Amino acid sequence: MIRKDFPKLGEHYFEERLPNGLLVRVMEKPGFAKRYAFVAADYGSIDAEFFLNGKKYVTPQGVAHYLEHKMFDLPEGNAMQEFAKYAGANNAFTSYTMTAYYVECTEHLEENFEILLRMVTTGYFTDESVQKERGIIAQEIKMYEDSADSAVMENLFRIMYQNHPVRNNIAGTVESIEEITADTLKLCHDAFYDPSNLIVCVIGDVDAASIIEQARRLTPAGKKPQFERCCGAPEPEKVPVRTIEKQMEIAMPAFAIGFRCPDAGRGADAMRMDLIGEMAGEMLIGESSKLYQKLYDENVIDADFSVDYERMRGMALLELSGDSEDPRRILREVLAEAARVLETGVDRALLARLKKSVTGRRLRELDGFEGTCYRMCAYYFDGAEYFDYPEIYASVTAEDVEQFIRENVKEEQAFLSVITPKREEE
Amino acid sequence: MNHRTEILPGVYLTAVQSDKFKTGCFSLNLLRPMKKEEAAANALIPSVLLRGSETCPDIASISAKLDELYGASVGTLVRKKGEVQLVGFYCDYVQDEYVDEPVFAPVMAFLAELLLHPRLENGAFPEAVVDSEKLNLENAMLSRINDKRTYAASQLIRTMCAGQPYGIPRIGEPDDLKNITAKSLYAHYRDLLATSRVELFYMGSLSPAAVTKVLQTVLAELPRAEVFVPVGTTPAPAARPVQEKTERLDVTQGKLSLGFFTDITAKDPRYPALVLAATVFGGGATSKLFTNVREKMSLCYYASASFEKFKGVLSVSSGVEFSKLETAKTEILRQLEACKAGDITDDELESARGYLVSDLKIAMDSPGRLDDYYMGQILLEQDGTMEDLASAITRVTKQEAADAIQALRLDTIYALEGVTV
Repeated sequence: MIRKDFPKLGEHYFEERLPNGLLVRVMEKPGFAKRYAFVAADYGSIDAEFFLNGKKYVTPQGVAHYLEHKMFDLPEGNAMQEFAKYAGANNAFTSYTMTAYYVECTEHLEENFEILLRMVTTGYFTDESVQKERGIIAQEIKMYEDSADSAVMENLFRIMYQNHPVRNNIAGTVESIEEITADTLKLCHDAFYDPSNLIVCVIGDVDAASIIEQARRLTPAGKKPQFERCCGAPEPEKVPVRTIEKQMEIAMPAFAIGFRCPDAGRGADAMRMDLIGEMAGEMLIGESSKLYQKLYDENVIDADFSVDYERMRGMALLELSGDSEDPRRILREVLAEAARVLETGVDRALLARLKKSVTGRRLRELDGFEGTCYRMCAYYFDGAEYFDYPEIYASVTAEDVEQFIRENVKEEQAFLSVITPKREEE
Repeated sequence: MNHRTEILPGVYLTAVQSDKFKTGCFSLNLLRPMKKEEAAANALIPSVLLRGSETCPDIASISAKLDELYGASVGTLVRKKGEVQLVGFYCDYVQDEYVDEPVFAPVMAFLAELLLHPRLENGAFPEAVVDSEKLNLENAMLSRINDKRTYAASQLIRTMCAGQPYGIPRIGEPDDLKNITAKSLYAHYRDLLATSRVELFYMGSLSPAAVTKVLQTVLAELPRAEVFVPVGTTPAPAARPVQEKTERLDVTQGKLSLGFFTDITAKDPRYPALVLAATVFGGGATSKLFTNVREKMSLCYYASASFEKFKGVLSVSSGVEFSKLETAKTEILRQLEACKAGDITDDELESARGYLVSDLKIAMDSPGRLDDYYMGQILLEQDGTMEDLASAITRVTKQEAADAIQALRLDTIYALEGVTV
């Protein structure tokens, strides 16, 4: 077990890589009643196509999410019932790039942690239970179909990417999940839930050494399978569709604008790009920008407007989203603002102020066990150390931000997704 | 321990001292009775105030100021607790000891400026600002329909309590925005400042005395009337025949919500028993609704019950296929009857109890949940910490839980169905 210190953040953790490849990290937080354990697999909805031991597999859309549901099945019953015996509040989620399971409790961490490790490393799939889950997942998919927030982003990804699997919804479709069987789940569990592809994080008033010991005792040897992920063919230069519209039962038109950015790679460089992208977005149309003020004053945007840089393996985008009657104007204005910023150069004082703001906000986020675990794991899968961010952020310059804007905030890289309210039929 | 004192006339500070967090947390709440005439105007005021003050006249300068304070955030706060509306602001900021310059005192001074010294034009709020925030608020009201799950829950309450204060949505209704002008809103704002009781919540590393000193200084100019508008919640109405309402929208998943009244609120000695019983019935993955209606029968993606402790309303929400709405309703009611009859296994009871007690202890680590809990206790005019509630729940027997849930009476059924094409 090694201890890593991050004096700038006033944080440290203990870490050990077990012989089976599992990485265990523990942050001791004395004084908190809550104890939180998080296990993540480096496996999300975009990993549906892969090579395993030299053979190519194409699995149905939504399999990572289906697997998440079925991981709760154990030979002795449902893991939720087991957690309930020890008052462990548990849940799970599947994102484009990660599947994670977590439990929080005050007492009985040992028992809850054991159930968590057991459920994630036990692939127990019967035809009957896989069949029964289909109805529940179909209902979940339908719930997302009624949500404009999901639809606007899913549609944006669909027009931005012809080949990258982010164009498929995380949960798949009612049709695609029909193809999922117990064998599909077993194949994906064997490939992606090997201890070498998992990370365990525990935060709270705990003893690091005993957590690591417990993980060593309770996880299987593992096979360290060799797999390779496919992110789809390179995207075509020319894209046929740049806007997509859909009508739904909503009150206000919702929109998402995406500027397609190059893959940012992995490791510290990718983390650095996260800040560059965030700074670029803030400068162009963040809350303290002139453009935000103007669009807000004219009721083109409201307080729900947001700008983010998002990336995953094989794709990245600068994304503007919110509610607006005139999203096309937002796109025009942000392009004009980008041209103006490149003309006059990025305001150095503004960059310093935005960095100060981000410093404070990142520090505050460290209070949240869930968010801290998530970020630590996401960056770990990405080959970076999350807590190194102060040094990495400090290295971001005005020139980096200018270059980002020059290369990405361009009309030919812009895409627009709009959801409009259904008109009353006469 | 919490510590509530009157720091200025009609201004109360609840301060929880803790050195566990990097984030400091503060809320400022003006207390108003839920009333059709003012609910929308009250909800509008914090948004208008966040549009500009004397020294920071627009959003860009306010954001710049907050960036300089290490990315402190100040947001509008509009809450409904029973028949009381709480409007104001919340703040999150880095605590002083983690950065090179003080943050708390400047954030509070800025908050007071936003509250007390708005940017004015001709002796009132700027018309353009009021018009634009009216539009935003109206959009927020209309957008309730976007999330069908919360929409169905709010339509249930509106149907159940139509024409009563409890039936008024948290941010009011579009109709009530129409007659608001820049002048009328400014007059209402002055009245709101002077006549509302103010409740402040602080959680952070400073002592209550130090927080009091900062707040007494920055809020010294808060106008104060002789008497403050009283607030409170009336008991649930008498039993009546079950109301049914069905709405049709172009959706792919149906929703079913059931509303029950009871004469038990958080002031009632039976409250801990009802909380436990409601959790056995529909709270979390071991509840009767989850294990039977979702897991065994695969009827819905979600089915859960939540209890509102001020008015005494239990709501069941579920997302169901259209063709199974009736089956789901029957099954939900059947599970409730089982709870009422005491047909509860030891596992069900102990899982629910464990979940509740653990959740309350975890909440004591959450500034936001502590704020919400203490504001609730203040409105209920009772002391009791979350720890007290947890230990009361520890002592509830199965019989007491079943007895408490017998007090539920079905009042309203709301269904959201698809349109036939």
